[in-house]
Amino acid sequence: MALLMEDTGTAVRAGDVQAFETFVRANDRKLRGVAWAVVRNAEQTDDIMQSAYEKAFRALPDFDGRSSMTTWLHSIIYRTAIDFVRYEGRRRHSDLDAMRNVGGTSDAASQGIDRVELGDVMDQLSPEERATLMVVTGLGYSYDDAAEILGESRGTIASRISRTRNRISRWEEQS
Amino acid sequence: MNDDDLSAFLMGEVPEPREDFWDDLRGRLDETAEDQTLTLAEEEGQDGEEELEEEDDDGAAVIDLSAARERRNLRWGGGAAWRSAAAAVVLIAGGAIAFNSLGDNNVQTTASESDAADETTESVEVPDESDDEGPAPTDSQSGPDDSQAVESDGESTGVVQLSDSEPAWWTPTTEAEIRFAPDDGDDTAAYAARSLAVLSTGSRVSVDGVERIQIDLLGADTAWLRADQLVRLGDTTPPIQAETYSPLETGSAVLQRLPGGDEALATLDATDQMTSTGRRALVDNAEWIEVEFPSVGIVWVLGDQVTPISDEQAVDQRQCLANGNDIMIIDFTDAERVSLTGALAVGDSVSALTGTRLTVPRAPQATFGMNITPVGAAEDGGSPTTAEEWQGDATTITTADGTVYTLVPCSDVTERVQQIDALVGQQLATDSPPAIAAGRSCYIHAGEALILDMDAAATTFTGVLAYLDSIQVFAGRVTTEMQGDSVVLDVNTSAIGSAEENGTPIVNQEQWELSELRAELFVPDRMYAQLGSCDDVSDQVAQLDQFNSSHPDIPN
Repeated sequence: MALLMEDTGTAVRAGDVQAFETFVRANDRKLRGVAWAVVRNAEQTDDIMQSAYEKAFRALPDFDGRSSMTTWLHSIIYRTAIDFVRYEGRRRHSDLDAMRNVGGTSDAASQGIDRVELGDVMDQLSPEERATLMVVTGLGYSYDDAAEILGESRGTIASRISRTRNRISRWEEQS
Repeated sequence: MNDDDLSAFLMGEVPEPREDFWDDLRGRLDETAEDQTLTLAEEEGQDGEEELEEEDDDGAAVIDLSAARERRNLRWGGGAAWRSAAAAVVLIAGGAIAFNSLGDNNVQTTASESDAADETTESVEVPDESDDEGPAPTDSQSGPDDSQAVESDGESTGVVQLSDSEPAWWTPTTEAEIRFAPDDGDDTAAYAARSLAVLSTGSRVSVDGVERIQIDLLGADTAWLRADQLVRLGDTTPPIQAETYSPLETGSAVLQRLPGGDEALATLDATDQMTSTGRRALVDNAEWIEVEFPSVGIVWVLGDQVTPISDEQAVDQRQCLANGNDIMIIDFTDAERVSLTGALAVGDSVSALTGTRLTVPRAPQATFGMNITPVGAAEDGGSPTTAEEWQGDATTITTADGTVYTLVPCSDVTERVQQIDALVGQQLATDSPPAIAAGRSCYIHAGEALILDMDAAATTFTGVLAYLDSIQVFAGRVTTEMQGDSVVLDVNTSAIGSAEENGTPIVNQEQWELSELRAELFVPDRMYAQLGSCDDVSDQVAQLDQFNSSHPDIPN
């Protein structure tokens, strides 16, 4: 079955490396946003994206097209990133805070004191909360689509967004 | 910070890929494509080797119709070569499966070991006819195939990742180990056989020669289980075409979380409809069908208690009820059978109706409320009248004046229905107010209250939001009737502002959203609340009533 990739209009058959790579290259920035939100570490984000892309490529024959290609990829990337955090956290016998604090070294984060401070707020959120904020606010998905990507109920998405916005509002009031 | 600024910040933080990222990826994809080609060729040569029948401990036949398994092995290790164990797609049928994840590494049993011993049923998956590739490859009964676990990565863990398979439902054959990392001996816990179903993510590993599969603890976490301690319930491959089913008679069908389980999630009415996922299972020679039921989710129903109905019937959301020659027609306008329009023909007068079902019946005797706004006599132009609350159950609806209407086949009152449709149909299609409950609703969140007073036509509203230390009065209108299954409210809080500040505007116009079933209200940046009893927030209700009495002409 040929799958039509949105944005690029490319038709991809299972096993077509060239077409798949073309699609993920064109969409990589917004795709990797979810992995970055979970781990906030550039090197780990790259590892997760490599693994997720390979996993998606292998699963292409099973993609049923009921969701968009990017929604499907985002769900794979999120699950891969969350599993990475959990596996790494256990392997190192450390809690998730260790994962949260290794990031924050992006160029954008160093461009101004306001951004660094907001980056600190991001570091204090859980990986799940950051991913939810990225999916809904950063990438503009609806609550329903976000629920599908993150494997949560719509209510959970709404409450996470509400909580994170509250924390950002408090940060704004204090800064 | 508004959403645009926050979005720009979030996306601005995302780092660029490292320089050799795409070269590395290309190499991995080429290798994967090559492996898939080799695997395909290998599977074609193994068609005759599939196991078809095995014996379990009880001697019952268990037929595994799985396709030949893949044999591609991947490393399980760290660093840049780290490979995820996650499934590509995980389908979760939510609900009260009895896992309790306590903290990060503690899962407790919820039933005794004797539960497992008492079980006598065995499950046999019946492959969907449209799925000719067959379900996932993991062998559930005979334990790991030694031929799978090859090529250790050289590390001391003894963990070798096997090829992924399709997500699938499993249930334990006996008490089974659970580990949060495949080789993590500290996290071992137990859970009872057959009282649970677990969903594999598709990831499999071999730990010292023993196959473990990764499962999803309902989105809360993932863990690992020994494959030889599980029996397969079925896969999650969707059918090409799902069928719609309806119970044969009222109360005859019971939804259950597991095929053959004893947990009655809902007893269905004859008018209920459910969509099959295409998966079926045999338990003690009885066929079970997995279905999606609106109020419960993905569950199972005994096959001989339901009957497939045609697409035409499935689309028909109409119910006809009669009290003598007086006829009521209820037309549900959404798949959830919550929003409705309709008509009530009493004597020579026909009134159009619009409304919302307040609760979903979960048992034959359960009643449900309906907020109904009679649009008025169709022959008089249909002026709105006051909202009423009616009560209904599986077979009757009782109007506010106590008149009982009983469910009848619409074919029994065809002529009357045609008369009513002719009078009401076009008018309702163009002029009906939004499908949102009129009257007062109280939404509550952590002691905070949002009281919504919707007018009879369900187009404008006033209310009060008791949020933190502020009592804020608002007014607004329903400008977007339906967005998906939700109702969007355009709220102009600046028209009134904070009551304790004597109405000083503090917030500009914004949008709120009522969820499907109207059970949740989402207020941006502030709260989401559940529909509750106004008696629980009587103080705030009194404040609103006092404000309304002193401000009879609330601007909107």
